[in-house]
Amino acid sequence: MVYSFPFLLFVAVLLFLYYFLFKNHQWLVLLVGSYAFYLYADTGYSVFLVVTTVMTYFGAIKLEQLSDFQKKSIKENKEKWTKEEKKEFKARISQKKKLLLAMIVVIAFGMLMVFKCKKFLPYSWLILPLGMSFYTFQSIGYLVDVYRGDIKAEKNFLHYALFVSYFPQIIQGPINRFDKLHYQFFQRHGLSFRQLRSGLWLFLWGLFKKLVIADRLAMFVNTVTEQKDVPAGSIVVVAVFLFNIELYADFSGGIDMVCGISEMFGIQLTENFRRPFFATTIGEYWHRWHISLSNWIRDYVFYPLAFSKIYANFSSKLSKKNAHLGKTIPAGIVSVITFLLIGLWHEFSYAYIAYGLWHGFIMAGAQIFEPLFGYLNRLFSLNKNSYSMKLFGRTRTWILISIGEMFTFTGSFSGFIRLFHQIIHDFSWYRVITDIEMYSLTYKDFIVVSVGVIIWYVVSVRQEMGMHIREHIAAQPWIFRYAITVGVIMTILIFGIYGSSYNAADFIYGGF
Amino acid sequence: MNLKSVKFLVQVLVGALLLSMMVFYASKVLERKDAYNKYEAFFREENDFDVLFFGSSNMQLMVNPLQLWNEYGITSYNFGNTSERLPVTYWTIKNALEYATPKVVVIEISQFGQTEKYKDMYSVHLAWDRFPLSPTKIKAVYDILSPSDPRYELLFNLILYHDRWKELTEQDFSRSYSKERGYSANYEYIVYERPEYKFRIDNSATETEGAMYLERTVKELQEKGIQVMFVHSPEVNSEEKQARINAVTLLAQKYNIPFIDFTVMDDSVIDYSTDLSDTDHVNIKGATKLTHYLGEYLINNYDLISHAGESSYADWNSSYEKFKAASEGIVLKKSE
Repeated sequence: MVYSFPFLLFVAVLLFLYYFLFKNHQWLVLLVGSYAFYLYADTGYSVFLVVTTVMTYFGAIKLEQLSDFQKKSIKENKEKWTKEEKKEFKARISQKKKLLLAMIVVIAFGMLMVFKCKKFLPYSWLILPLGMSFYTFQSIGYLVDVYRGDIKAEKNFLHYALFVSYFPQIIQGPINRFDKLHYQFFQRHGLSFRQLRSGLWLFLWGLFKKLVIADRLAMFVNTVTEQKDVPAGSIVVVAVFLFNIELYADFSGGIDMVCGISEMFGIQLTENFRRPFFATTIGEYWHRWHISLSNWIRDYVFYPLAFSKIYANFSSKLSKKNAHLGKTIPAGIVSVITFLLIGLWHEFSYAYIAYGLWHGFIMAGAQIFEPLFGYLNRLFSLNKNSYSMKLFGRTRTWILISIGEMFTFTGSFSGFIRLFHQIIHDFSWYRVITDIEMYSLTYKDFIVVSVGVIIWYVVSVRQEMGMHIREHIAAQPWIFRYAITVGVIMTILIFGIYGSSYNAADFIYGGF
Repeated sequence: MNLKSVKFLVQVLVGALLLSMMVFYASKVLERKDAYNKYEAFFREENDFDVLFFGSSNMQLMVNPLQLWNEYGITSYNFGNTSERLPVTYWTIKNALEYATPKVVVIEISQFGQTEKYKDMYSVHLAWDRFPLSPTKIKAVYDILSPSDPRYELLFNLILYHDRWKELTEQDFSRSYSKERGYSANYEYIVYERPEYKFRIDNSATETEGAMYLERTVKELQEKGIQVMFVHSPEVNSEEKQARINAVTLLAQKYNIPFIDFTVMDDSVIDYSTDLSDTDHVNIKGATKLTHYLGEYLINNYDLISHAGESSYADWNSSYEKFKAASEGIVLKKSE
C-alpha cells in the first residue's frame, strides 16, 4: 500500500521543507518531492512519466507557435492575401496542428493501451505504471486546451513537470485541469495551523473509509469471488451490494486522503465525488461519481462528437422523420461511445466493455424513452419531487449501478456469468443467515462495518444539506475537536485492516 | 510567546498526551499475553539476578529457577523460548542485560548449526514483545529481520495485535502473570532409549551465522566480566545433528568456557525411559534432575552466594511454595 509509515514520514519531512526551509521555492520542493516519490514507488516505469511530460510539453509549445504563426501571418498579409488564400493558409496550419495533436495523443494513449490491453497481448506480466491513466489524461487534457487556445502553453519545463507529476494526485487522481491547479503551485503558501488541521482531518476521514470499511468489505467480496465452490446466489447478491460500498469507500477514501495531503500544502485539488448514491438517475450519478473523469470525457470526447458535422447531419436527417428521435438517437449513440470509453479507461477487457455498454445503453434509453416515462408519471399521478419517488429513484439507481458492477467485480466476464448463474439457479436466501461468516468476516466485523457506514451516511446527509463538516467541527470547543480527532485515530488503529495479519489491499483505482 | 500561542501549545500537548495514553493502553490490552505472562516477573524483580538462562525451548523446559532458589538460594530467570535461533538469543541477551547484571549467563546450544537467523515471527515476538522500545531493541529488529519482514510490528506491536479486539477475554484486562521465572513445566513422558554416538565434529556448523553470533555473545559477555557457560539438553539426536553440536566444543575451548552436554556425557543425569516429553525436551521429572545438577555445578564453580533468609527475597519463597503446591502429586501422563 502506498500510504505506509515511511510515506507519512516523507510527507512530514516535505511539509517541514516546504514551510520552513524553502519558503521562497515551495514549488521546487513539491517537484523534487514528487519525483523522489515516483522514483521510489515505481522506479522501473518512471520513464513513461518523463516521456509523457516531455512530449506534451514540447507538443503544447509547438501547437501554440503554430497558432501564433497563423495569427501573425494573417495580420501581416491582411492586405496581400485574398479570402481564399487566407482560408487555405488557415486550413494548412489547422491540419498541421491536428496532425501534431493526433500524433501525441496516439503515442500517449498507445503507451497506455499497451498496459491496459495486456490481457490480449503476450505481455501479461506488465504492471500498469503508477498513476499512468491519470497523468496521461491530465496531460492530454492540457494539450487539447492549448490546441483550442483556451489556455497558454507553459514555457517553463519544470513548472509543467510539476503539474503532471504532483505526488498526491499521481496515485489515483483526481484528473486535474491545468488552469485550476497550475497557478496554485506558484502562490506563496504560509503555514496555517487551521489549514494543516483541516487537511489532516480529511486525510483521517479518508483513511477511516479505506481501512475500516473498504478493506474489511474487500475480504468478504474477494472470498466470495475467488471461492472455487461457487457460493449461493443470495451470498453473491450481498457481495455485489457490499462491493458497491467497498468501491465507493475505497476510491472516495483514497481521494479524501490525496486531497487532505494536498490541502496541507495549501493546494486544492478538484472535487471527484459528490455523494453519488444520492443520485436518482444514472445521469445524475455520473455527475457525482469520479467527476474529474466524467468531466474529462464530456469535454474532450462527448462535446467534440456532439458538435461534429457527422452528428449534425445524422441528427437533421432523423429529425425530418421524428423530431424527438432526431435529437435523442444521435445523443444516445454518443453516450454509448463515451461510456464505452469510460469502461475501457478502467481496463481493456470484455468485463469493462460490458460495464461501459451497460451504462451507455441506460443513458441512451433514458433519453429515448423519456416521453414514455413522463407519460407513465402523469398516468399514475407520480410526483417526481416527492420523497418516496426520490427514494425509489435512488434505489433504482443503486440497483442499476450494482448490475454494472457485477460485470467487473469478479475481474472477468466469465466470472460474471458464473455468479449470475448462481443467482438464477441457486439463490437459497437462507444461506445469507447460515453461511455469512464463511467468507472471512465475522458478525463482529459486520457490526464494525455497519457502524462505520451509518456514521458515513449521517455525514453524507449533512453534507447534502449543505453543511461543511470540517468547518462545523472547527467551530466546536477544543476539547471536543481533540476528542473527535483522537477518537478517529484510535478507531482506525484498532478497527483498521492493516499489518501482516492481513494483506493490506491496494487502492482499487490505483490499478486503473 | 503570547498567550494565544501558549494556549495553542497546551492544547496540542494535551491532545498528543491523550492520544499516546490511549495508544499505550490499547496496545497493552490488545497484545497477545504469552510474552507478558512469561517475562513480566523479570521486569518486576526488585533484586538483581545471579544467573540468566538463554536458548530455545530445550532450555525453557530444562531449568526451573524456583527450584534453584529453594535448593541454593540463588536467583535466576529462564529466557528459553520456543524455536529461538542463536542470533535472536544474542539480542535477547543484550536486551536482558539492560535490566539486569548477572554473574553467570548459561546458554543452551541445541540450535547450533542452524543456518537461518530466526525460525518464525511468532518466536521472535515471544522473545522480544515484552522488552520496552529502546535503541537496543531497534538495533535487534533491524539486524535480525530483513527489510521485507514486518519490522515495525516488533517495535509497535499494536500493528500486529490490533485485530485481537474480536477475541478479547477477561484475562486480557487482568495484569496477572506467571511467577515461575520463565520456566515451563511439562507433565508427559515418552519412553526412549539413550542413543550411542560416535564422536565426530561437523566443522561446517562453525561457519553458520548462528555460530558467529554465539562467538559474538561470548566475547561481549566476557568483556563485561560476565561468566559464560554452555549446556546442551538431553536429546534423542541423529548422528548428524550431534556432530554439529559437538562443534561447540571448539568454541568452548577457544574461549575457555565450560560446556556440559547432557546428551553425550558419560553418566546420564536423566532416565530416558521416563524423563523426556519428546525427542528434544525434558518433562518436569527430567527438569528437576537437570536443575539440581546445574545448581550444584553453579554453586561449586562460581562466586554465587545464597540469598535465602533475606527479607527482600520473600516473593521467591511464596512463588516456590505456590509452584510446589500446583505441581506436586501430578502423575506424568504417557504420551505416544
